[in-house]
Amino acid sequence: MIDIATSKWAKWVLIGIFVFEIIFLYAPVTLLYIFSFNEGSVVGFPFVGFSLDWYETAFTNRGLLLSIRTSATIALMSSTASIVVGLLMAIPLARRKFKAKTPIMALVLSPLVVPHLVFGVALLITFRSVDVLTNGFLEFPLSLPAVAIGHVVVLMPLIVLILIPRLQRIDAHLEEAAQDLGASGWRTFRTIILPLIAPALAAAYVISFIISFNEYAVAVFVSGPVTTFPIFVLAELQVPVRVPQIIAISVVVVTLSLLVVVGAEVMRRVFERRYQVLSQTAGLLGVADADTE
Amino acid sequence: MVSENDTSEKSDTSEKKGRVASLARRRHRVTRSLLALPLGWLLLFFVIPVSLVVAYSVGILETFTKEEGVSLETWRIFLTGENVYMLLFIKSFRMALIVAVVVVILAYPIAYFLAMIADKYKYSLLLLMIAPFMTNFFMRVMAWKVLLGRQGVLNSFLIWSGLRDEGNPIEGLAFGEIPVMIVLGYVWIPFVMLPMFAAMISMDRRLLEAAADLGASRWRAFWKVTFPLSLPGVVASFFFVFIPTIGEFVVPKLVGGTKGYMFGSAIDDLFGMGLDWRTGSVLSLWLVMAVFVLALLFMRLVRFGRLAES
Repeated sequence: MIDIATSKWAKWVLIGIFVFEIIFLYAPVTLLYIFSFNEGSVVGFPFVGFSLDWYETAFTNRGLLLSIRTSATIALMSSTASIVVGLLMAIPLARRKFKAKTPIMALVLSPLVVPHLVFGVALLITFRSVDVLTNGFLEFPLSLPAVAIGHVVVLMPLIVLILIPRLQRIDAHLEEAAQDLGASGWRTFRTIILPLIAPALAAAYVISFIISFNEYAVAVFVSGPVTTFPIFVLAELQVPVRVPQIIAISVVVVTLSLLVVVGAEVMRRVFERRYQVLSQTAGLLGVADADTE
Repeated sequence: MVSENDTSEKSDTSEKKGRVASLARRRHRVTRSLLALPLGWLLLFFVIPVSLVVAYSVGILETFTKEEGVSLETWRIFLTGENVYMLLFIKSFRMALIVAVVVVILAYPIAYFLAMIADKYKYSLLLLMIAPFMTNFFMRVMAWKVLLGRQGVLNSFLIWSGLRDEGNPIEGLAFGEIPVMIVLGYVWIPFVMLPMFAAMISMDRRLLEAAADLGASRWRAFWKVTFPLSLPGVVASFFFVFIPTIGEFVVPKLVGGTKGYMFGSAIDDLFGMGLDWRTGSVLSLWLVMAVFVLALLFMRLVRFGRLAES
């Protein structure tokens, strides 16, 4: 590290920029926290008085609660399904050699370069044209499963990108040793691969869940009569008198997901450290070790 | 389609060779069956839908009966600028470009700080930066919806504290093009630094030592080593912002007003209100094509940059 990073003034300038941007990022959200406790129904100065009314209003709003339940159901379905298909995809891509690898990788990652809006529109056309193409014989209703299907496509590349580096770091000899000792492919996966990637899987699951829960662009086109949380929030934001309770519920949602994200990150670090100690011990014992970063 | 050629396990004895071959065959079969489900999913719910948009844009597929048959007419009208959409696209392209460039410039020092200076605190500080923003897109947009506007928190604060007269709010904070860009920039900064951070953290630090040994000054070492090596991260970051921004329609809806209307808003309206799916399909494909061409162009540029270096 012998570039400008080592000079004193550059260090202080960069620390200054960092602090400034942290403030810029946190200030608006902090204001939301403050205004969620403001008594008045207009979100703005002056601050009228402290109250928890907006939280009460939010938690007794049936439509709001229902939309949260809908989004949680969709997130549960899509993150579970996408973890499965993502893992099925990531294992061969990370640990096997085959000819079609590059085109398959390109296909898997291609949803990343298609704006969600366009993908949402494409799904809408697809689901709508099912009954046109089959002459009204088949119909695909726009609703909850339609949104979940779309979210799996959106999430799959992200999960593959999270899992591949982790899978590649697993020593190939471990797998071969297990198979030489007569373990089946499934057993090798269950006893060697799965425990080693469990932390990465958990992280991928949490991220997928949160992304799906908050996803709007795909959902708005294929949800049909179903109202997800983001759709509900966006509609309510157009009505000024509803804004304070939306702020209150968002504060709750953000706080909860913050706890989950930070918790998951802490857990992951604890696991990784334990694993590192384990593989270092293995290294000392003369076992081939490809996992010390 | 999938063929296994694992050459790592060569052996002398023919018996072991046979076993290796059968193992390879088995792995080959397993690979194929593992890939079947995810590839099938992508085919059914990604490749086919995108192809159907193509079909729709030229009238091969129609879901409403009123439409006008197979032709390139809708494309022609759009490309020759007979309707407003081409102008709207240019405007959105410009906005996305500005947002992406500004955000990358703002995020670069942060990524550099975390990767090169923050040392053992880098992952904690990284988490501090991105955690609140991994949580809720709407929370971030909503915060600005509340802040901006003529009666927003910022203007009401200025008036309440006497810094501005009543009935004379700062117009720049009212809804429009600039607020849309501010909000989009705000939304992306924490994420955009990740690819640059990754590029810097994985770079070979011995190159910097070598540069110093050969007498390079700190600035020179930065411009000749660190910066070129972080370029792939910079390009990735740029697209990280550019792609969602050019297809954005939520932020314009919230803080755009009529002046902040974007290309994405038009697509949303064409489909959402069921006005004209065919034009909507043309616009959607155009958006994807623009992103693709730009991505190819940039990948070329980065590669040329590297060739020039060596």
